Amino acid sequence: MSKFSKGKKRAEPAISTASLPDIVFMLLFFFMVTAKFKSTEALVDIKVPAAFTTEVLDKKDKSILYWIGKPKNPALGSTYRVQMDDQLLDDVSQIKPYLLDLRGTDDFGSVWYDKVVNFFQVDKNAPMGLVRSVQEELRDPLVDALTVKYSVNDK
Amino acid sequence: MAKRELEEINASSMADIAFLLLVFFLVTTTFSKETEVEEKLPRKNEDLEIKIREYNILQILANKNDNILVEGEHYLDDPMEIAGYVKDFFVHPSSEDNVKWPEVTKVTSQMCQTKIAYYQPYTADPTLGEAYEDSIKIYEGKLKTCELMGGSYNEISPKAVIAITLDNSTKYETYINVLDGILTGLTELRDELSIAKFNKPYAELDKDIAEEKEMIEAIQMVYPKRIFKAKGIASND
Repeated sequence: MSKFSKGKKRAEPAISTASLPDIVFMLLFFFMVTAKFKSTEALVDIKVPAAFTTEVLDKKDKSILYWIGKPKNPALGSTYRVQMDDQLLDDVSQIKPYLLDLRGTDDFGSVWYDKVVNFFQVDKNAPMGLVRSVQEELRDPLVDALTVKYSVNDK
Repeated sequence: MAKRELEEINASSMADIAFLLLVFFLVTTTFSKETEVEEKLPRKNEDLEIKIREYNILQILANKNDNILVEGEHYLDDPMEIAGYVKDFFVHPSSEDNVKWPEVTKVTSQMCQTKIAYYQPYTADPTLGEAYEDSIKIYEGKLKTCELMGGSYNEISPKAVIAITLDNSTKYETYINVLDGILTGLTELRDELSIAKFNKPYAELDKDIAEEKEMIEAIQMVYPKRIFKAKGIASND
């Protein structure tokens, strides 16, 4: 009688899937932690330009977002417009009261000078005249928000 | 009575639930590493029409057709050529004697110490004391820079600026290219200095470490970022 019987074939045991949830949960937590939700939807089309010498955006900064581009909705015309929050602005003069309101809030008021960043996402074909007129509003002594960052791609 | 064994809860559907959540987060996650170019706007009250001598300005002009002109005579095919002009502006090549460059003064530790000692007695002054204290602070900064640079450094005239003049219909992309050219030139200079003095590229210096923060400040003293935009407005940092 041989020790290694060549007798009838045994059924292969099923692979245990008990650890599958663990693996999936690990992946899940990774994506949960890295997920970032976009709170506002862009109403304008933007393709940002590229640059060589760039810095990585500091997430600690409190930023105010400005979008400048042509409206996605063709019914709104094809001139370059400024979007802040969920609104397309009709005129740059609307920026100042908005920023003054923001400066009055606890969230922004205490860090206005060192930490508030004006983050510009501007289409590469937008005219500088419009960008500059927005920045003129920021330079207003009452507003006084002077740090500007331009969103760019790496070249 | 015989104890009944506890029935195990079937956990096989756990994976399905986890997968559902996983797919949701996979779809909603964006992995964009956002990069930016920074600029400091000048205050309104700094909007003075100061007369600056021509040799203290590096004039960069971008017109409505997005042509870039440097110093009123060099048309650029590639905006990155600006980097070279920026480097020349700070470190004057001695070969070209007919071109006038911004003034450069040699700052030494001894000079800073003399200035600080000179200002010290005036800080007690009730009205002007503060102004003198500010002056002392400036010279203390310079002194620190001297120490880190090995005794002395060449300081470019505080009036030297890089001026960008744009048309209202110049494309934003052109402006970013100009800004990028300037920053690239400046970064190369800062890198060279940083490697020579501290054996480390400028970008790798960490501003959260006190010692390296001093190094960053010293390098910024030697090669300041001073960009001047549009109609005679200067910005500093």
